[in-house]
Formats: sequence, C-alpha cells, structure tokens
Amino acid sequence: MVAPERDDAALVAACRAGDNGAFDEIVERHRRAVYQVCFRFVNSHEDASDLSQETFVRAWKGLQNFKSEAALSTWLYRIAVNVCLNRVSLKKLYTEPLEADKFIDPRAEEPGAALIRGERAAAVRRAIAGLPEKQRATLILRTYHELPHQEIAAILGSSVGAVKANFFHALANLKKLLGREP
Amino acid sequence: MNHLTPDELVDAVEATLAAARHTHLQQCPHCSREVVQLAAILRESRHVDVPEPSPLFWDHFSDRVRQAIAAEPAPRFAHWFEWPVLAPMAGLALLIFALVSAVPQGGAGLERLQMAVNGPGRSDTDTSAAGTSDKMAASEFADATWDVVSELVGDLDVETAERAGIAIGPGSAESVMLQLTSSEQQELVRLLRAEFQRAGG
Repeated sequence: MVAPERDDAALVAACRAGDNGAFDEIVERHRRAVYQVCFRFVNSHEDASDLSQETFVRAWKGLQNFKSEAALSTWLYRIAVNVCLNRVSLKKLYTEPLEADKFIDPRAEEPGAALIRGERAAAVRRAIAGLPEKQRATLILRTYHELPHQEIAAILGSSVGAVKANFFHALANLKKLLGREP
Repeated sequence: MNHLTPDELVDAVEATLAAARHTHLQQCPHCSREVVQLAAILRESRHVDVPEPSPLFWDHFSDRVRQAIAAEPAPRFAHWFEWPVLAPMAGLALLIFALVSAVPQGGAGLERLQMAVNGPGRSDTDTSAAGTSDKMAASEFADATWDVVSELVGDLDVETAERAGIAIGPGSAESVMLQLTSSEQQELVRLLRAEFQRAGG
C-alpha cells in the first residue's frame, strides 16, 4: 500500500521531529521552482544550481523559524531571493554562453524558427538578469511565480507601492533593452 | 489631464485599474500606448521558460543537498536545549555541587561561606528566632550577602570542578551569577543555608 502524500505542513512537522526523509521530500517537491527563481536571477545553470543548493541548506538550518501559517513555497522563495541578492552583490553578472541554445529541441519546429525563438528567449533572459536587483526580484516573483504584490513586499522588505513601482520600471527597462521603444 | 502613474499603469496591465481611472485610459492615447507596450513585454517575458536541466541533474541535486546538510551541524529544533537556557542551568548546578563539596572540608573557607550566607554576627539559632523584621529585611539581606558569595565562588578551585567531571573557564561562575534573577539568587542562598544546617556548620 502506498503511503498518502504528506502536505508541506506535515513535512515541516516531521522534519522538526527529526525525520530526515521529510526534508528530502521537501527538496524534491520544491527544487524545480527554487531553481527557476535562481536561474532567472543569474541566468546561469551552474550558478543557479549552487544557489538552489544553498537555499535548501539555509532552509534546513532555519526550519525552526518557519511560521506554518505561511506557504512553504513563499518562504523558500524568500530565502532563494536573499541568497541570490547576496551572491549577485558579490559576483559580476553572468553572460549567457553561446551554447545556451543546446537546450532547444530542434525536432519541435523548423530549425530557423527555433533558432530565432531561442535567440529571442536568450535575449529576454539576459535582459532580465541585467535589471537592477529589486526590479529583477519583483519581476521574477510576480511574473513567473504569480505572488501577490503584498507577499513580494514582505519578501523584499518594502511597501506594496514600491513593489508596483519596481515592477513598472522592470517592464519599462525590459522594453528598452529588448528594443521595443517606439 | 493627469496621466496614469506607474502604479496605475501596472494596475492597468494587470486589469485591476480603478474604474475612475479606466475612463482616462480609454480617452488618453499616450497612456493606452504605454499600457499596450508594457502588456506586450510582460506577455513575451512570461513565455520565456527556464531551460530544463536533465533528469540526472535533479538526482544529483538532491544528493548534493543531502551531503551539504550532512556536513552542517544539526539544527536545534527545541529551544529548551539551546545554550542560553542550558548554560545558566549547568552553571548553577556546578556552583551548588562545588559549594556543597566544599562544606565538609571546614576551616576558614567554610566560616567565610557561612558568614556570607548567614550574615556577620548571626548564627543558625538567630534564624529560628527571626521575627517579622527579618522577613522584611530578607530581600535586602540576600542582595547584600550576594556580592560576598559571588566573590567566594569566583575563586572555586578547579580540582573540585574536575572531580565533578566539569571543566570551568576563568570567571564562568561569576558570569553565571550575573545571569541569575533576584529570586534565583535568594533560592541559592536558601539551598546553601539548608546544606550548612545539614552539615552541622
């Protein structure tokens, strides 16, 4: 008989009770979302991998501080964003290498169209990674993880007004960087 | 004409703009163009996925996290066992043990300890005869004698602590004393008195 899947709150409680396997489940459940936050921040697989790992190690160390009324995913995003902000401030921005287009599956469409689409996607990722930190964090959390402005404000330690302003400037800067200025 | 603010432009892109400002948006070509462009860039960004790593990466990733966690010291999930709680308790236990061990040895040190606990010129029979005024003065008495007790225990010999299997650092007993509350200090004095009576001091 297969054991019923535990929800996040049950997994956190199990971790606190010393069940190491429960944290493995948390990692497995949230690793992709955490990796995506980190990747969009740094636009590098290697760095995103390291940052994601650091996020989970910090989460494990700080699990006793997690308030169960909050969503575990939001708490992990908060840690990931802080880890990324710390790392980005220490390290020069990464530029996506040419071999990034190896991720494109050429069977899906015409090679020419795939190349153009891949180049455009790479340009968008580069542009996002080139935004100022707060704008980048806001854009990532709002656009790709659909967090409410209020939660983003809590994560970034700012007001809802500041989050909206950062979101606006992030989009305006992307427009400039991607050449959509009229 | 007041154009939409950045906040309102975001609201318009997310279709949460207040009705009153929506009227302006419909009539203002500048704001309308701005909203259309922002919405277009948002739509394009939203469709840009993160390249999916290989399945093998995820297996390795979980292993790496597990190894990194194994290399970390265990987290402390129960606050009761954290050092700010344990250190004073361990210190207090050490102090009581050391003082009690010192009692049967007698001599000048014992007399000084008794004087510190019972007060100068007082004997245990004085305690039994204590009246209401003694009770009123108990708190001040404990405070007044406490400095002397602290001074004495600060010089506890290391051998006594080592016999107990506990190594103490210089000044650690004094440090523990400073962390005790007034009521804890009074309780320690009471315990010491009881021990002196038991030892026939």
